[in-house]
Amino acid sequence: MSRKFFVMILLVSLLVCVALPTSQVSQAGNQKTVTIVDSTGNRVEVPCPVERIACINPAAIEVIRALGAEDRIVGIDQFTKWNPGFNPELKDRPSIGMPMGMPPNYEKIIDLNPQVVISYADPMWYYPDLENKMKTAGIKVVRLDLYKPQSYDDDVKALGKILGKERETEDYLNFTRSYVDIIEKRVDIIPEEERVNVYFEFFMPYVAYSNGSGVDQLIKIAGGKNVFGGAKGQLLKMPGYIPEKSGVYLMVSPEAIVEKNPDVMIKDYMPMTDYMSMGRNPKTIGYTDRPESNGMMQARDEMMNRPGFKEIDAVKNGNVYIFAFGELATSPRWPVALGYMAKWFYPEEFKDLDPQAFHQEWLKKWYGLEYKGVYVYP
Amino acid sequence: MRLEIRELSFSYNSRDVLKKVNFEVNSGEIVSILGPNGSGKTTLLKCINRMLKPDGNIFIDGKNVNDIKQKDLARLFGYVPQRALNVLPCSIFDAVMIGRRPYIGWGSGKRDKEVVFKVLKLMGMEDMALRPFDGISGGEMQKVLIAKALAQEPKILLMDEPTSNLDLRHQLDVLRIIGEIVEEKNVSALIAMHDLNLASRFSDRIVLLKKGEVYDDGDPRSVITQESIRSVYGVEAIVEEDNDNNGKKPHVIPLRAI
Amino acid sequence: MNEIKGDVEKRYERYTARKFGILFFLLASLIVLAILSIPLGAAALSIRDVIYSIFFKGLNLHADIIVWQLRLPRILMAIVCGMGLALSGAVMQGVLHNPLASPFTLGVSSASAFGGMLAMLFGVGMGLNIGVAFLFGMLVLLLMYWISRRRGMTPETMILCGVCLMYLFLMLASLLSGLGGLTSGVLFLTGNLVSSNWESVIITVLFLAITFPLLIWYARDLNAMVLGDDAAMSVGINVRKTRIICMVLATLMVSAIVCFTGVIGFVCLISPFIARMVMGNDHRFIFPCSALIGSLLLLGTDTIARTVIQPIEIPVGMIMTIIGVPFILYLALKRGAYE
Repeated sequence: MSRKFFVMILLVSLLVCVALPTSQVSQAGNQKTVTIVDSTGNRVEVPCPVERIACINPAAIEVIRALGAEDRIVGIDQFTKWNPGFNPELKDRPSIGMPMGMPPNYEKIIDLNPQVVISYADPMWYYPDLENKMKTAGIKVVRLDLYKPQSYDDDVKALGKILGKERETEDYLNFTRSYVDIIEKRVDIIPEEERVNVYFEFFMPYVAYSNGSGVDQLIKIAGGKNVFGGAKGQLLKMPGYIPEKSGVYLMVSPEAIVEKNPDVMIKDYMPMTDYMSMGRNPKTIGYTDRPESNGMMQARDEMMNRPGFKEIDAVKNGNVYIFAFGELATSPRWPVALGYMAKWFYPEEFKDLDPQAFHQEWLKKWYGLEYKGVYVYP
Repeated sequence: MRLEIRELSFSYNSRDVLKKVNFEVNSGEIVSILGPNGSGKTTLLKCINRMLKPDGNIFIDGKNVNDIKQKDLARLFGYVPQRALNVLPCSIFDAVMIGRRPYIGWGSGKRDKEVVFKVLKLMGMEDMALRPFDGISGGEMQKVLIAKALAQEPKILLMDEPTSNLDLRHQLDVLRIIGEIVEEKNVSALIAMHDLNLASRFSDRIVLLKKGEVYDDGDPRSVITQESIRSVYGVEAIVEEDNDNNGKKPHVIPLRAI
Repeated sequence: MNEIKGDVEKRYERYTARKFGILFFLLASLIVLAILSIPLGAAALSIRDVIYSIFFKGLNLHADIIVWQLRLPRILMAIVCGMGLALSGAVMQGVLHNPLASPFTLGVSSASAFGGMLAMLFGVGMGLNIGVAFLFGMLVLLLMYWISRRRGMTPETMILCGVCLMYLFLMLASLLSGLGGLTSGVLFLTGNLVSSNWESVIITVLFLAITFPLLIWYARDLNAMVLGDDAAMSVGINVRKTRIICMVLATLMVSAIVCFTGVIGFVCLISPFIARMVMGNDHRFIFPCSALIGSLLLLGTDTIARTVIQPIEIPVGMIMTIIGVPFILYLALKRGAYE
C-alpha cells in the first residue's frame, strides 16, 4: 500500500510542478490604470475606466447604478439576485454567491472574467482569502463598504474614480450631502444635555451596534448618544482588521440596557422567511409589491415586552422603532434613515422633515424607480 | 530451559507485593503458583516477563533476563494474560498471528502462517480461523490466547489463570493441551491458578504464595496440606489422597472459612 | 485432516485477496470520482475546456485558472484531508481501544482549531499556527488517554467526556471569533475547503507523507495491542512508545489539516468504522482502507457542497454533518439491537 501512496505523492508533486510556472497570468496591454485607496486603507491599482465589475457588496451595486454604470456589472451577489424588483436591469446577471456568512464562489467570479471585484471591507464579511484567489486570475479586489457615513464620501469618490464617472459622483454626493447638511445644522444647536440616549439593536436580540459601526455614526449625526457607543468589544486583532474602519457588534446583557435607560430604541428587523424562500417568493420588507409590516410590528412588541424593559423611558413613551434590515440604515440610502432617526429623536425640531418624500425622490432620481414597499415601523 | 527466580521483590505504590521470592522451574516441568487473591501471582508472572521492573534477578539457563532484548525475550516466554480485550475484534487467525510478532517485521512470511495454522490445528480451532474474536465463547477466547502464546514458540509458558473463565470441560481440555505441549516440545510452564485440585493434578510442582512470600515449594503432596491451606487461605479443609495415573495427588475438600 | 488444513489456508488466502481487492476498488473509485468532479463547478466550462486545460495548458488562460488554481487544488485538498482525517480517526480508535474515538469526538479537532485560531489572532505564520494547534490537540488527546485509563471507563463514557471537551473548545473558539469580530471564524468552525490552494495542498501532503508510512509501520504493533496491553507487551512491543508515537502522528496530521480547513467532523469517525466493517481489524489494512474511504467521502461531500446550490457555497462540514448524524444514529440503533 505504501508504494501506491508514494506513487500518488509523486503524481501530486508532478501536478504541482506543472502548475507553478504558469500561476502568474500576464496582464494584457497598456491598459490605463488608476490607484485608489479603499475602505481598508489599501492602495489598489485598477484599470480605468473599468469595464467589467463583479460585486459581492449589494451597496456597491446601488451606488454603481446611481452613477449610471450598471451595464458594467457582470456578476451580482445573491441578495441582489433575490431582489429583482429593486434591480430590474440587473436581474439576469449571474450571481457570484452570498454577500455574508459564506465565502463567494471564486470559480464563478473568475468565470465571469471581471477586471475588478468589489467586496465589503467590514470584518464581519471579510474574506481574507479573496485577494489570493483573484490574484492568479489578474482580478483586482477593491474593498468598499459604501454604507457607512464615516467613509461614505471617500468610498463613493473612489468608486467614481474607478468608473471614470467623476462628474456624476459630484452630483450624487451633492444630493446626499444637502440632506445630511440640513439635519446636521439643526442638530448642532441642540445643547449637549438635551441629547437623547439611543439603543440601536442588530437583528439578533441583545446585539448592539457599537463603536465604529455605521449605525453608531448615524446616531451621532442625528444628535443622539449611542448608549453602547463607548464600549470596547475588540480585544484581539484579526489580520487586516482595522477597528476604526469597521463596526463593532456587541452582545450586551438585558440588565445593561435597562440600566442605560435609553430614550429611544431602534431595532433592525430581518424576516428569516424572506431568506429561507431563497428568492422564490417576493420579499415582504423593503422595496416590494407585497409590503408586510406585521413582522416589524411583532419585532417591536417583542422588544417592548422583554422582562424589565417596561422601566425603560423609550418603552414608557413608545419611542421604539423598527428599521427593515439592510434597506436604509445600513445601505447607501443611510441619509434617509438619518432623516427618520432625527425625527424620532427630536420630533419638534424636525416637524417639517419628510424622509419618505426624500426617499421617493432618491429612488426616482437615481434608480428610476417608483416609491413602494415598507422600510420603517411605525 | 531452566528458570531461576532469585530474591525477587516488587513494590507498587510503596506497598510490597513481592518479598524476596526464590524458586526455579526446570526444563519440561509444569509449576503452578497458588495463593489467595492479592498474594502476588499475577505480579510475579509480569515481573518474570519483564512487563514490570522488579528488584532481584531472574536467570534463564544462567543468563540474566535483564541482558536479553525485549524482542528476544518474547521468543523465550509465551505469556497468556488473564483475559483479552475485544473492543476491536480481529479474526482468530490474526489474534494468533500476534504471537509471531517477535519473529517478523511488518509482513508475515510463509513460515509464520504455517506456524499459526499448526497451532490452530493443535488447539482444534482451524475451522474458526477467520471468525471474529468477539463472536466466540470465553473458553474459546482463552484457547486463542494460549494459541497466541504457542505461536511465539516459547521455551517457557507463563500463564495467568488460564482456566479461570472456563467451564469444567474446557478447563480439563486446556490443561490437557498444556500438558501435551510441555511434554512434546520440552518446554516449561509456570501457571498461576486458583483451583487447588486442578493444580495438584496437572503440575509437577507447586509454589504456594502468601502475601508476596513463598510459603512452600515442592511437589503437590508435600505442599497441599491441611495446615498450609489453613495458614495461607484461612480455610479449614480436609485433604484426601487421590489416586491419579501419575501417582498419588492431594484432593482438597474445603469446609469453612476461619 | 490435511484436506481441512489446506481448505483453511485457501480460505485465508481468499480472505486476504479480498482485502486487497477492496483496497484496489476503493482506489479506483477515488480516481474515477476525482476525475468526474473536475468538470463540475459554478463556472460554465465544458468538458472539452477542462480536458484541454489539463492536457494542453495555455490554450485557454481563463479555463486554466479555474481548473488549475481553483478546482484541482480543492479536489486534491479534499482527497488528502479526507485521508488524513480518516487515518487519524483509525489510529485513535486503535490506540484507545475505542471504536467511537476520532479526533472529532474526542475534542482533538476543536482544540486544534482553537489553538490555530489563537495563533492566527496574534498574526504569526502558518507554521506556528500548526504548532499551536498541535499543542492544544495533543493536550486534549493526552487528557482523553488519561481518562481512558481510569477504572470502569466505558468507551461511551469516554466519548461523552470527549464531546464535552469538543463543545468547550468550540465555544472558546467562537468566543475568540466573536472578540475578533469575524464571521470567517464561524466558517472556520463549520469546516470548509473553499480556501484550498497549492500551498495548503503541498503542506498537507507533506504532513501525510511523513505520518502515513510511519503509521502503516506501527500498524503491526497496534494489531498486537487489540488483545490488550499485556498481550502486546508479552510479544516484545513497547506499548507506551507505540501509543505515544501514534497519538503524536495522528494529532500532527489533524492539526495541520484543521489549520487549513477548520473542523470537519464525522469523516474521521465514519471512515474507520466502515473500514473495520469491510476489513476486519487488521490495522495494516484498516489504515489505507479508512484513508481511501475518508477521501472518497470528503471529495464526494465537497463536490456536493460546491455544486448543489451554486453559486452559493455550502461549508462541507455542514453536509458532512447532515450525512454523518443519521449514520451515527443508524449505528447506535443497530448496536442496540445487537446487544
